[in-house]
Amino acid sequence: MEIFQIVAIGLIAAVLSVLIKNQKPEIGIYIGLVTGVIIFIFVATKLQSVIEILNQLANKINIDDIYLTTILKIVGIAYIAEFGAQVCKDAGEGVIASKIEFAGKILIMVMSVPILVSLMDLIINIVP
Amino acid sequence: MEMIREWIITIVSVIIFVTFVEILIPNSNNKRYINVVVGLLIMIVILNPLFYLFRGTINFEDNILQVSNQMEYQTMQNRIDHNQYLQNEAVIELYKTQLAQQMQNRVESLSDYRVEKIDLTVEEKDLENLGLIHQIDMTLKSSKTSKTEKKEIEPIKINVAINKNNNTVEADSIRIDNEEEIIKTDFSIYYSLPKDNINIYILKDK
Repeated sequence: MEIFQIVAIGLIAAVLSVLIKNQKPEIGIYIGLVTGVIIFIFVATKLQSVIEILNQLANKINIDDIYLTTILKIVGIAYIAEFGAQVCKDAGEGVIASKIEFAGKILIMVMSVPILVSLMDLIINIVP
Repeated sequence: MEMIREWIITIVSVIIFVTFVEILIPNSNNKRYINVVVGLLIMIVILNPLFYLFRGTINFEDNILQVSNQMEYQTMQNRIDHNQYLQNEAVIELYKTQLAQQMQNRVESLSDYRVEKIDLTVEEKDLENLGLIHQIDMTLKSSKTSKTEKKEIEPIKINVAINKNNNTVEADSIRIDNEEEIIKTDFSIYYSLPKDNINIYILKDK
């Protein structure tokens, strides 16, 4: 069960961070950052396998591959932006976090424009 | 009847897919935007057969790729215009990488080959036609990994491999014409450059 390992890592890091916070607050931030990365990497491999299965599923459906890959890419962007923003927020840099979120939004928008355009095309062509 | 059946299956499976994706989405502000895109996708899936009834087939994949290609091109030109990057080379390198990535996806969806390498020659000096593709050199490799794994189990195959020493010779790159032609035609139409400027090499592995 991986959840035990992850929770253990999290708890140990939390205890360490609390212990050290009084002496050196900045090291607490480093601990939080590293723990975040470790847990992210831990789960990222699992997530990868899930996404591969989803991809296989998508290949069976009679639909253009590009839509589903776009959606998966958007989910990936959302994840990574979220992760970066959380780390920045934990470090007390709310401004940078909001900028990361902003960038994530824009990149998601860029990815979704082609889908939007093709939908518009479709609708314009259907209407006589 | 067959068409309706397929339509329903597609809608149901897309909705199942979307539900799965929804589990994966992190709990953030981005959720709203992802939901919008997912909604667009479902609309496309539902409307697609209607379109088929009215106008016949259309290739949306091409449309989407074309739009994203255009956006890539526009982005590069904007970056140069705004002097966001001091060196044009860096921008062109980025553009090339993204184009190559796009081509790789395209080749892999068109054929069974896996892309090993893509070399692009684009216009770098003339500011008017900056980013125009001059030449494409790509190296492909057949991607039948699952089959080769099975072959390794058979003892006879291994004996043959030991007796014959010419395996290395066959590993050289050679040119074939059938699938190459399909890819070439597709690329020459899509990126609007003459067929002679597209070179495809296919690596055969034994």
